[in-house]
Amino acid sequence: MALIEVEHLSKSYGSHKVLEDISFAFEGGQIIGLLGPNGSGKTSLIKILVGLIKDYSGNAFIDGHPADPHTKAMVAYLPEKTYLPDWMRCVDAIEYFADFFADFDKDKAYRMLQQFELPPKQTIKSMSKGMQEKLQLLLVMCRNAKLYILDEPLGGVDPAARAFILDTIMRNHPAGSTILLSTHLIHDVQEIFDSVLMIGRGKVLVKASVQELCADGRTIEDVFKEVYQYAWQVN
Amino acid sequence: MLGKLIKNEFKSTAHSMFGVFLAAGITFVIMLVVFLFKVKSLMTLSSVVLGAIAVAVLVITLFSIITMFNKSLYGAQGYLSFTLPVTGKQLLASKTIVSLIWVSISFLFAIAVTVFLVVYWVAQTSDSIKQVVHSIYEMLQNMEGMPDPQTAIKVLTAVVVALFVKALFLIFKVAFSLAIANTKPFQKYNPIFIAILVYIAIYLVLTVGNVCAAYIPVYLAIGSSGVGLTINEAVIGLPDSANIFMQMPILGYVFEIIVCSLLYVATGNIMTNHVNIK
Repeated sequence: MALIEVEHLSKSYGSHKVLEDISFAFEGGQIIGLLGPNGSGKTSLIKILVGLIKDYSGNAFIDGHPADPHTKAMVAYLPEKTYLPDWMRCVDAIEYFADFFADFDKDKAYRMLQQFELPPKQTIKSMSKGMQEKLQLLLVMCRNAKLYILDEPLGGVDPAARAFILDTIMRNHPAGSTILLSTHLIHDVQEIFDSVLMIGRGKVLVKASVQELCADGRTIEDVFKEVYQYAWQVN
Repeated sequence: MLGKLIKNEFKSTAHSMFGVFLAAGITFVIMLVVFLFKVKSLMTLSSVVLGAIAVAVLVITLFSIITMFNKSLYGAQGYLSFTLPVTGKQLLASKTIVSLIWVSISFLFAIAVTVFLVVYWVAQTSDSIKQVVHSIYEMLQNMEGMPDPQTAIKVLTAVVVALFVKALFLIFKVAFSLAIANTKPFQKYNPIFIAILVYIAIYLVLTVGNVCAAYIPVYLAIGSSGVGLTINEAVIGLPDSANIFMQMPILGYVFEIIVCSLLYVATGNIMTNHVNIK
């Protein structure tokens, strides 16, 4: 059974169709790049998978279930937004995650807090955006989840921070787990992917393993440029 | 999971309530100092401040309940709340329970402040605490129509149950209005504006329901010899000679309990199946 399975999924905002009858499936145990330019529907697809958007047609399954407590217990989700309440301190956020997620490694979280140089008793409110993002990444990567869904973790940060984020993700995800990472910054991450899903104009434009895609010596970035130039011309 | 949700909701709301209870504590200490050192000029002022704080506690409680439902579910925090491994109904139940706890604390606080202010002012004219207690007891005894202690407990219980239903009703109306405001048909509008419109609509529908219920003259009657019902003029379950101290329009409360149940089921369903987090 596929870990992620989407069948005839459509989602629109008013008259604007963001996803139009898309279908795909991915087995577990790989790193999947969800690629597409801004506004191509990556975040909408992710929000449907994690259960934040409910008005769609078609099916979106994780481990054979639509978004429900079973899938939420196995998915570690990192959104683009800062979602922690501003009164919380780092220690409160760690205790909160430990309360709700059975797979959360509290000891690792406290160790990483030191490594990330985040003051344990500083409130979210008084942290910089960068510190808040670091804390959210820490919380997500301290879960021993089956599936990590990371929405634009590299967006809006400098190249040094991107390297740090990628390094954190690669070092901390458990063996055998799956990562679905959305980005439009292909250059920095292309070497980590096992498979890619390129979406745009509501459609799946490419779904392939990196091996297939780069068989002729092209990079994912080359394919991305070709696909989106083509997609934009024909649409 | 429900216990964990309640614990964390309580921690979260305690932050907004802490300030006002701290202010009340400080005012209380100031009043005691003013009383002990007989600083008469500050007695009125400190009493007014404490009374104002008691009102502020009720207002801040209501505001915290609205924030708890709106911000933590449908704002950025919704990205966390709705990705926890819990059901929509568990989220709703935890917020309802915590809201009820805060409403109860606020009401008890307001009652305690009222009692304290009465004692405080009676104490200005008395020489000892014993005399203060005696004066208040005499004052209560001389009030017309006061029931005996056993009946007073029954009346008090009925009032507490009625307040509980009213509080639950208010919470579910807020929760339902905000949930509706965050569904697809209304998402292009300001959610608070839509929530207020939905709230007013529910209020109007329920007012009609309550008016209709009032035409059916069934009352819960609390008398010196027990509790019964009055239908039209007939008394059921109480002897004819019984003094009736209180009559409550029970159909209105039954109607509100039914609507509360419907709102709970509908809100839980909307949260699980229809709400979109922006």
